[in-house]
Amino acid sequence: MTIPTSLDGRLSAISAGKTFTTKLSKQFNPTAAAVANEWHTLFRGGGYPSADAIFDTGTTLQMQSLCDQIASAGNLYHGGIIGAAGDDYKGLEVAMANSAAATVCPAWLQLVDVLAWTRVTAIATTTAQTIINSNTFTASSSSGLLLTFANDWQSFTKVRFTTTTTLPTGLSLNTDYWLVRVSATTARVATSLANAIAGTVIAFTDAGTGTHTLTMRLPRYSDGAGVQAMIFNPSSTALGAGTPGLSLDYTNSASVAARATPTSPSLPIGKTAATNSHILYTGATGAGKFGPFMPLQGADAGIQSVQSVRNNATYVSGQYALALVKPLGEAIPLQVLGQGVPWRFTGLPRVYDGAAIYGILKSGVATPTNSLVEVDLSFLWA
Amino acid sequence: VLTHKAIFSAAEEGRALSRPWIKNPSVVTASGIAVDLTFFGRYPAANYMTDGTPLAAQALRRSTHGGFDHGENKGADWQKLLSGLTILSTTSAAAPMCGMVMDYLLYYPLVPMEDIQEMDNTITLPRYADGKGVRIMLVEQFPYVGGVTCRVTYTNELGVAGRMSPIMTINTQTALGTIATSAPATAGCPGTFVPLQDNDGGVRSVESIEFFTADAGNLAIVLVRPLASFGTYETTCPSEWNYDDDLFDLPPIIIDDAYLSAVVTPTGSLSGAIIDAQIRTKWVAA
Repeated sequence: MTIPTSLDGRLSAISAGKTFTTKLSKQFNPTAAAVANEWHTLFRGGGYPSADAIFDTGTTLQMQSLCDQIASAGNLYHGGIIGAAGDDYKGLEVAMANSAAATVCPAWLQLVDVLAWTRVTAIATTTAQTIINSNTFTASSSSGLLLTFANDWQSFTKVRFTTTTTLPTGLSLNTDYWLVRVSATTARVATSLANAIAGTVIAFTDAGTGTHTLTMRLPRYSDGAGVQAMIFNPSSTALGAGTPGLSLDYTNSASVAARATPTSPSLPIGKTAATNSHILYTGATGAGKFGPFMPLQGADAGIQSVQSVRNNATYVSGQYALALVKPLGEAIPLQVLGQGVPWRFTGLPRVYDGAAIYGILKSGVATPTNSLVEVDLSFLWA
Repeated sequence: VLTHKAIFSAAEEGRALSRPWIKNPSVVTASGIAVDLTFFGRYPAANYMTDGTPLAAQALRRSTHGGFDHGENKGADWQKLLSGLTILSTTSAAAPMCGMVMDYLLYYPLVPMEDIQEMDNTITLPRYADGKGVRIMLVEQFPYVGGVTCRVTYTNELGVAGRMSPIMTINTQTALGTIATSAPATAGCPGTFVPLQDNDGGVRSVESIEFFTADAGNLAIVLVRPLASFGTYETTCPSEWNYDDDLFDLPPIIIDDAYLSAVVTPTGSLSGAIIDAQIRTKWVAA
């Protein structure tokens, strides 16, 4: 891995054609006007990339891995897999952002790599709800080693295996593997993301003995360093009435479990009747308003996994989604309508192979439905 | 190996060029709707992209079609860089305004806005032949009513045919040079470029475009490779963009015989505006 920190290193990468320029062009809040100073995801809006069709799907409370290979996820193509082993360094170099839609500006745009998400449909439940991060499985033979389990895991989910006795031959403890989905309850196993994409899977030798468990890991930033959580409405249907306090029980990036969302000065409080794409606890006024990411306990530097999520009062209807994300670079200010804002990101933020890049946006004034935000983005790698 | 020293030495050693371009849009444009400056004079001359047989691909080259002048071809021993751009206009709708310099590769002329129109791809991309990073623009050639929906089918950068854009809405801006998919707050108007199918990284060719409701007018389908962003900030002073000295951006590589032009997104009508600019290039050992 070479980190092109010097200008000459970056120029060399460009000269060798190791660069990709694209334009993210998304419409804000497709179903309802926003309120000033709320943060919204740009996931479901139209434009490029196309609207996601994934964050309001899947088994409730099952944490799902996300990468740029997943159709219907609607994330940004950023130059492809750059190394066979994914070991080259790709960075987010510069951006130029603007919006010429009335009443968007001033605004802030933050790029994020969405690592995993789950949706919560039992929003009338006010106790902590356990997140599904693992399944037991059995092993058999079907064009390679085939795992059978209870839940539907996305292709390219990064996992580790444990067992009460002996794992199937080809699988080891404390080693990362990637699932290649076969059906809603079965998957084959690859030794790298590149192999998983190529369909190169582990052969079947035996089924092992004892009870085996697969545990999902974050596909990137697996230790959780810098990983943040956000809770938003992923559906075109607005949430019903309710202003619950929202909290997580999580394991931090130092692998310390039972960490909790701070209650002081307040838990993040969800907005009543929050619309499509709204990050529930964002806004300018009222208790429990925060930025786009859930506050973490003490000096925690990130989230490795979430064990439970809770809304301490009911929402009358609807659903919300919990996403684990890595912010990419600084938020870009959009100060004046129609004015392009050039932005050189500090420190060449790393973009891992498979990164699922999206935008989230806070408008400083009320924002009309379908307002367009465009961002030219340049990536380079070395 | 390209280095900072090599870039700065290039100017001292005479391997640098500055050339003007001036555009004077003649139609009424609107705030937040992107416009292709290729379609307007003065220097270089307007290119209406009507040459050739309707629906048949036409390659664009500096040597045959012009575009922003960036100097002679340098050959395989040199790498030409877009090192900067200075732009000014005293027209209020042109400041603030953002835009993008692009390598215009190929167009399909005079596409009727009805039914399914099949393209002729006898002529292929003259540069970026695999299509990686290449994007599609729909540009208004003759006025339409707008509000209709369409979908583009294309071959992606891996050579996979039959890839489809989402269904898009055409705007209602009836002016030559308007980017037909651009509107600041219209549902289904995705912006400057046609959105690609999930995970696609570019376009090798357009196979067809389907209109789900007929409209009057014609579009040009244009394949471009984005190079560098720029913007204007004031009507009282020029805006300066350096792409090679770490102030803002990367120095994009200009391939020999590239046809350069730009799209801008104004904040009002550019009718009668003089948009006056210079581009700067350098060339260094490859």
